[in-house]
Amino acid sequence: MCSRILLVVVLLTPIAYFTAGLGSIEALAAPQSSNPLSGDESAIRDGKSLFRGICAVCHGRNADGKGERGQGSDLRKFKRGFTRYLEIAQNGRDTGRTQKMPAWGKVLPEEDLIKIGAFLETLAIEGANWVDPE
Amino acid sequence: MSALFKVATGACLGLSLILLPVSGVQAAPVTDILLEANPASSWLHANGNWAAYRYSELRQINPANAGDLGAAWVFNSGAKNDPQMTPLYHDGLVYYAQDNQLWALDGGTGRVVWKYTHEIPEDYGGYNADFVLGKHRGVAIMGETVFMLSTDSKLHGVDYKTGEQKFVKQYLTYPKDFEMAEDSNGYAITVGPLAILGQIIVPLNATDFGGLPGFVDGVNPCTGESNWRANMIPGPGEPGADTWPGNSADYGGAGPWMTGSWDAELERYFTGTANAYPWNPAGRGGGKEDNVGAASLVAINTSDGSVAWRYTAVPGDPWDYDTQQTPLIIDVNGKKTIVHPNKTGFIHYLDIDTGRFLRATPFADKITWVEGYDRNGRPINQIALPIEGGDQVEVYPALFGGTNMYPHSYSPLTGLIYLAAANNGMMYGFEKIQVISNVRHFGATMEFMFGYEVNLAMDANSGKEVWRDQKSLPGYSGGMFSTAGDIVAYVSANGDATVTNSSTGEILWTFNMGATGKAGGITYMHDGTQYILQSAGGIQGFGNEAHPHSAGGGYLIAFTLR
Repeated sequence: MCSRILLVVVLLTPIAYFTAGLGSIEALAAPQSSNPLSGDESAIRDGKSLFRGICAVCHGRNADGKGERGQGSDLRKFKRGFTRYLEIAQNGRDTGRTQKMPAWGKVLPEEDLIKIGAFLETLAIEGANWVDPE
Repeated sequence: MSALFKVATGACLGLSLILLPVSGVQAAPVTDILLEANPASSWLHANGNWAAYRYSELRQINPANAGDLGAAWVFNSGAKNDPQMTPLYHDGLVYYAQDNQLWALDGGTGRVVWKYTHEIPEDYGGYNADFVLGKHRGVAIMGETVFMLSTDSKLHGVDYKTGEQKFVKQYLTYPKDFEMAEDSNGYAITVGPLAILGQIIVPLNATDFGGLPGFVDGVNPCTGESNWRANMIPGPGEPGADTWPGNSADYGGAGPWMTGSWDAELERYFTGTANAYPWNPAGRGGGKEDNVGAASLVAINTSDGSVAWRYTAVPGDPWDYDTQQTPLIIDVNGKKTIVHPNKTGFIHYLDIDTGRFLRATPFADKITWVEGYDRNGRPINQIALPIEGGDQVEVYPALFGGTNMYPHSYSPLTGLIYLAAANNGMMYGFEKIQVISNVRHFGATMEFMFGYEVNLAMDANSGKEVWRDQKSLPGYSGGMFSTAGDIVAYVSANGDATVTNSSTGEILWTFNMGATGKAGGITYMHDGTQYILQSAGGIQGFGNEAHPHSAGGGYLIAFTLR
């Protein structure tokens, strides 16, 4: 898992830079994710357990869309931002296939869906985006 | 006792009628004599005959001319889910089900004679239930009625000439959309019914949709009313009931989800059962209790529904190793024997009278979960189970199995069993079992090491491999049938339809169907011409995207000699 978190940091962290002449380091204010639990180790741990227990059957253990019953999306590439993620997770989505994304918001508390999102961020690959559009 | 069922139902089935016109096609009721016969002109059971051979007496197509096969007609069902249906053919008409619809097609042209449609209730759904929505593996025919099981656990009796509904009978609750229901547990049916003397066998499965226990019903063909119900998991007082701690049997799965075989002499139905549920065995003994009835073979007396015996092939099943595959009834070394290739990678041989284990011979190329079976039919040195939340373990075969839902065939001509096999492994681990709307989720995750499709011919007596057609890419053949013309036919994951010399394995003919093959085919004689009928279409599935053809498609393709 550590290597995966490192990968996410590399892919998602905005450019850090030295402020020339001041001898100090400042990170850009831009967030890596709009998820309020982003980077929260406890939330990520819970989200991982929830994801693997509920979502992996369609989306795959590694969220790569290779679930055993799978027609799920490759969530490593999710790029619509956290708020859109939460909307889809809560309200479901008609995929046009027999298997659709259910409206998990009817049966899971919002906090659990946010924790799952916090876990999914850690699996992000190039092109992924969890920052809400302006 | 079956004779009593027969007397009671004979009048409603129209068995006194001989010949009736059907949209220009002549059709006669299906009598007991026809049901008992091996497929020849007709194909009246999804599994071919009661012993489940998928073997036809037809010889027009044979190794000398199979290279001249060509497409005669194509029917498009517009399938939304995998076509896994083995059609039937009787007296001019092909019967075919997909997406809870049933068609009668002209056997010579594929044109629709009638269509019957069942609307699934709006509240159908729930965990994992869409995975099976609209899948059918067979229908049954008896008298003047065709019988279709719909996904929502209903048996439909339909007039074989007109498609008019005679009755609909629901047996158990279907899975409910968990957005609407506090309890989403239910029975979702993909299996086909079986016509035996005087009864229709109705298997009922809920295993991977919440784990309600599996049953087999024997029902009245006129009304669908149950004559009896047999439980796959032993009930209180039955041997093996104590292998389910606490209330774990209430959600233990073990549903029969492939049509079994029937022996008319013993009046006994033989079925394999699904995995134990949930996949993570934490609540049902942690893999240390046998969980009898799950991943098992069950023999049911069809006179009264009593269970004659159960044999558990995967005690405490921690691997999702369903043994739902259809048991064959084969004369082995002069004795009628249950022969059962299954997910474990072994062919199991059992005494048909007692269920006593005789032997298990490996057919899968790589088996790591056990070293073999001992003389009592118990696994030898099963590997250590993963720890919940911990690392995964490597297991061969994968939970897809050495062979899975794609039907096998047995040829009395060659003495060979033809197997739709594959070589796949998995990394497999346990997770906390989540419960939503009273549905226990799998509690397991996996990653697959995809191997190759391999179509095997195994000697039924010795269990030894005789020939193979090994493909380079992953998948399974859609299933097998063989004929007295010394051919075996199957469709592959890559979309090829293949006819092979059943004795030697020489490939005689291939045809690119343009979509994957996931269903067993049939052969029949229509107006003096032998046809081969194969389904094409479906998702590649299980995260496997190796084949270049598109997912989808729902075609039924007929082939004849040109």
